[in-house]
Amino acid sequence: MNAPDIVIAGRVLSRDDSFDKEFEQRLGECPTLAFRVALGVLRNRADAEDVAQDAMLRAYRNFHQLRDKDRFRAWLVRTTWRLALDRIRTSSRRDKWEFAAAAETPGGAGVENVAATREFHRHVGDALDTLPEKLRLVMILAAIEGHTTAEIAALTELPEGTVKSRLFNARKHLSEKLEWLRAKRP
Amino acid sequence: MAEGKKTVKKGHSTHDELSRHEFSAAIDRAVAEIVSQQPSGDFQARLRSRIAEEPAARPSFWRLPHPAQAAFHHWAAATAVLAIAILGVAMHSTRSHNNARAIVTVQPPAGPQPAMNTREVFALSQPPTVKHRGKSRPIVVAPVTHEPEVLVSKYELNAVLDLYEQRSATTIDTTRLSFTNLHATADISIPLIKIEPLVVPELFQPTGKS
Repeated sequence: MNAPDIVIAGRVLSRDDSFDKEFEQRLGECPTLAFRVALGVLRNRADAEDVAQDAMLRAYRNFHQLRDKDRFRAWLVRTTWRLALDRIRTSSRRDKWEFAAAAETPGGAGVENVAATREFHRHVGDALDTLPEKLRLVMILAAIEGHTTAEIAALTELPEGTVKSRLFNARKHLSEKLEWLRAKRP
Repeated sequence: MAEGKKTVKKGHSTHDELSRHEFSAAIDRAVAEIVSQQPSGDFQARLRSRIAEEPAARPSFWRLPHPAQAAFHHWAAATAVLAIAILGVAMHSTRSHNNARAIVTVQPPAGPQPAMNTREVFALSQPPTVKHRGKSRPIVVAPVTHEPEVLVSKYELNAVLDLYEQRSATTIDTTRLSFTNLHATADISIPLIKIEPLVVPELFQPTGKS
């Protein structure tokens, strides 16, 4: 016996259509988030894309449990994070720092400035790697798309107070780690 | 002079604070630049092709709309409650049956008035335990191979418990805990009553006078 179809926005959809339509919506919004989370850990575009794709595939397989939008994003962030950490642990290759810092520096900057900025970013990235995982995750999420504390709390399923405290500790840790760079900063 | 020094010091400190703040902001910007990149142009296309290769068939149940899933969950919960209720009733009736079996009457093997000596005893499916010095110690009952349960009267049971509470420091003599002598050793026989015909004394022989 066939169950009745579902009507969305005046259009009759079969059950499969509804399922695919919802996933299509997520597919438009979320892969970049997954890519950026992975990039925060791996800092290698190709690896980050692979990990983001793996995470999205897993999301597709488990989409029946993840139809709620907020739940989907939180799940995707956690899964991507774990996959990226697994990737970096299993891979001996750590060829990071291929991103084009030079292209993002303000126009008119000299070659020296570009090199200094790139160097600064490299040190920041290395310091980021030394952060404990729980601090690193909130730091990266705060850097992605300017997420607010509340948004990070929703993504990590942590209380807002915890997120604030972790962000504070992460920034403090990074500042202390890079204190020697402060005088040299371009 | 001192005031001027203080102002200079304060100014230096403020500058330092500002510098720290700027530095922290610069770190934030650097982290944001690290992660704020777009995936390559073919990222979406590759992802879509990988998803298209995925076997589409999830179990059809999971593709049900939410109301249908909710109905299924309600049905499952109701079934579970019903099953628990049935199980509870069944266990209760079994326990009642066992309790009914536990109280039995035993007649002593012989005696002139067997009905007067009928006693109530308790069937113990497990050996009784004696609590002493914070530990539970089972009373060892002599094994009874022909009888699955050990029958003792509640008075005897209390007496035994008292005895072993007092004597627990010493070695337990297990032979004292054999209650097998409660079993009948012989069948009960009730002798037949002999009824003699009525003998009329001669003193009351009829005289013929009315």
